[in-house]
Amino acid sequence: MPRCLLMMLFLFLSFPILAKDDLFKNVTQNYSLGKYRATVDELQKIENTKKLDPKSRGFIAYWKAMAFNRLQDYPSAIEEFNKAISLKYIPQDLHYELGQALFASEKLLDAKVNFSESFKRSFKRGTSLYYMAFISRELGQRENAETLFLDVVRLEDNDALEPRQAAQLQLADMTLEVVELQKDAIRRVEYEVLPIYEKALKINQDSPLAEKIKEKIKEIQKKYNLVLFQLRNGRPTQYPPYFLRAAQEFGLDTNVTFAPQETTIEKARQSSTFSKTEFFGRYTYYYKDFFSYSPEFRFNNTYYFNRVPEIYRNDNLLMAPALRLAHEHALWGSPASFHLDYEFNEARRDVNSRKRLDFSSRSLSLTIGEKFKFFSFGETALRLRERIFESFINISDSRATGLVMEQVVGLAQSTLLIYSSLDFTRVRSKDFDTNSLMIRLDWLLPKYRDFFTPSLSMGLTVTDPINDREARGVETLFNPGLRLSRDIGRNWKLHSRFEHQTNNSKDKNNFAFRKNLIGLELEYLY
Amino acid sequence: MNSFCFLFLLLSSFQLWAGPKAAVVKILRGSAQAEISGKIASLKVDDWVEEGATVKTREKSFIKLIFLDKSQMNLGPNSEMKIEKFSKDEAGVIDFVKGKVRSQITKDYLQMETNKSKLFIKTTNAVMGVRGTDFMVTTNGKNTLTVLFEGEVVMNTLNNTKTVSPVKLDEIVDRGVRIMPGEFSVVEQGRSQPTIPSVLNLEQRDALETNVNFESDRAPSSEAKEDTAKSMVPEGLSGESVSNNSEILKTEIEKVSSVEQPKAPSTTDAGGFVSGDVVKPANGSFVHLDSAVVIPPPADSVFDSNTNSFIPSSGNGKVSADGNFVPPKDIEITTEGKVLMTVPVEGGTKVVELPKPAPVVAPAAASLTQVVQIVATNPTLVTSTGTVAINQPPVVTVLPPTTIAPPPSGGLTPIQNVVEKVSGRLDINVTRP
Repeated sequence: MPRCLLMMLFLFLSFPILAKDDLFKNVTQNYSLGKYRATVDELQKIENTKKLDPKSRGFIAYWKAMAFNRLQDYPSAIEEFNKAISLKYIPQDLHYELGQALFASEKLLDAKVNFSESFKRSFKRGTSLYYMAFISRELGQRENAETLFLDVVRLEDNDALEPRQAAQLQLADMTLEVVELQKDAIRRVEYEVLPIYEKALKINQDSPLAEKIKEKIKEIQKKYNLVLFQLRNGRPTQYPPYFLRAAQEFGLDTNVTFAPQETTIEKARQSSTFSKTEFFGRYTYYYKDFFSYSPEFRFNNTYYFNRVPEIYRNDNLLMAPALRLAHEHALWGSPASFHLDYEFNEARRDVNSRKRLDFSSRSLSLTIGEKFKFFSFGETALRLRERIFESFINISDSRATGLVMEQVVGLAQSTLLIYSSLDFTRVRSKDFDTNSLMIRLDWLLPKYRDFFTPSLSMGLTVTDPINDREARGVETLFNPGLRLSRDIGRNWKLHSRFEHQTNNSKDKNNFAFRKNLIGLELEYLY
Repeated sequence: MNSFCFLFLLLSSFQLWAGPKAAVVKILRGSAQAEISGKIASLKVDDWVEEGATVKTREKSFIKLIFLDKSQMNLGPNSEMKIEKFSKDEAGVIDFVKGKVRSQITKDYLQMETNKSKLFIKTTNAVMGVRGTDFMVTTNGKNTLTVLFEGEVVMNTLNNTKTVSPVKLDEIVDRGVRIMPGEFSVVEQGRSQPTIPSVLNLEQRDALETNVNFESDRAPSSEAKEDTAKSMVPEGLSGESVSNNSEILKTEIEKVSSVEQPKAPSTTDAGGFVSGDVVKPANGSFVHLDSAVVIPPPADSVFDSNTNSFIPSSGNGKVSADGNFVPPKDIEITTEGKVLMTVPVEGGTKVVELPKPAPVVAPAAASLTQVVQIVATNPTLVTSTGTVAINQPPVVTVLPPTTIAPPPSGGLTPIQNVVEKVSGRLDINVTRP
């Protein structure tokens, strides 16, 4: 009975904290204005002067602890949070805030327990889990840390984007730590570690952390010589310095055309499926930071499946070695380069329809040019080309001088490439002399729904057969095309293309033609 | 000789009383003088200072002036100001030359419209229109800092310091920035406009607000922060990401208190930005009072959504009990705003100049403490001219263009070019520089 009376007395004297009144007026105002020291003092005053029930005392302890955390007085915050827990006043964010105070006080095990509790209570799940993983890493619990970081990466919470990216970065750092101790570190850094960093980067390319990741990638590339160096005009060197390509295409040509020389054409008026195999390789060497030379080789073989003489005489084998030299400098404050290209090309064809590849033609080109940035939207290249062409028919030998202009136009989501060339071709048999102008636009579009990358093209060639104008007139060749590309593996791509060609000529029998080309190509890049 | 001096001072003082009275000396610590028409007189408590007089304080000195309208103006150590105008009819004009001044202006001064300035304080490059009650201004003659504790102040740059007409001054300040309680703004030499007002570091604001009399020997308020070196933000995350938005506490408070919780000021761009001449310092920045140099919260600072500001970790320094910014060990900020660092060299030390930190929370930025460590371990960063060549964080993040560069090789046919681009050769050049 006396116990009962005492309890009633206590209840009577206890302050009814949940009733709305102005007892907390000053505290609320101070807290809202960020006056956390005054908040704590006011709360202490209330605690000292009022008799409160446990719940109210718990609330005050929690509030004080929140203010202490913001004052970075972590020991006091921990004490007050623990007081609130002992009084069974545990709001959803208490364990998270307590975990932070413990983390800042280097009490990592206790902090981890509290973040685990916070995660269970679904409060800031991504950050809570990240704290747990980070603490595990700090404590040397490597496997546990990896598992937890992976859990963070897999989270689908809307507010977990930053922890996901940071966790992926941590995983990359941890992998790097291990790989750096291995014998084949360079190879593994390139093929195992860098992709993890790039994965982290892809989570959010625009985040502040993305800048750090980019820096880290550069640092690693530099450390392992994965980037050679930056050229004196700021242009980065080729990475990797080699480029290898192997491609196999199967397609259909609706009107196979035979071109024994550069300025004439013969039509088969028949369609055929074909196979085209290509190998290409190039390596770029650098001399100091301003000069590069790149030997390259191209091999190309085309085979037509329609085995009638008018068609299979087009079977061909092409070998084209080249050497490209570049001198890097600056022009109008931007990187520029002077180019000198030396290209050789030998083609073998079944020119006599004997099911045997014989010498068909060879050409030698020398091109000088300058690539520079004059327009803000993209680089410009101007080139002057001289080409000597030898055919298996002597009268078809020719010499051509060409002026080329290339322009890149960077659009918001896509890129437009403009190519134009003006060629003056003089053939041993003067009847075949031509002047021609070619303009081609290639529009490279962004990836469509992560499925394929389209590109559209349109070409127009105007050919003036200067000594045969009466018979042929000025010819025009329209050449629209569509190409769809899709990544199908780390180094593999699949391309499909559709092209149409219409050549208009006064000499309809010999020079006018129409054809369509469709093809499917599998490509391997290294 | 003493009698002669006394007589001279008495005569000088008499001159001070000759014009219209503006303010009376209420408190004096150390020594202060008033000068008018080339005549100088030492001030003492209860002396009147008239319109047109220049008041100067010496080192460790302080003077409290009570004006005709009961407004207070506290002039800190090594400070100088001229009372250009102070009458009962129109807004007063104070020419503040250097030092620190704390003003507590009465609300009903002149009984003017609320959107009109009641007092103008001019420095060499800025003018403040005072529409409220409690604020502090510091200037080193080049930069001007205003911190507001209560009421409202508008500030703008001032090109012609000879302007004394309140009407013209009002026009100028009307085009300036409006500072709210708890915020600060800086007019830097060479910048065409004041910084966008930002929330001052909470601890510094508290210390300054209570240190009305510029006391420099106040007892430290808390040792707790000193012992805490570690930030609560784990590596990889930002202070905003780990921040608890305090909504749960707010809900709990609403259950027990009917008081409306005021909203935090400066609700946008808490991390700050620099875009040409427009500067918005990070909320929660410290300010070095003598030079008005803004010290941003370090990258590992936690964000307090309750006040919309960062709570700095210890990496960039701290605040003393009198409200002054105390830089980390081996760093010193001069009155001119130079950030100096003492570097250990063979046989002693050397003082070098560090680049001024950008006033933003930059994730990649090294804190001043980290800079000290970096420079101490990499003496090669010190240039022959005595400066430190250390990379500072990018002030404005310019994203790399998303356009595709032309292929590296020349001389290919356009079709080959396209093949190379589409087949990924170009991707290699773009994404793996």
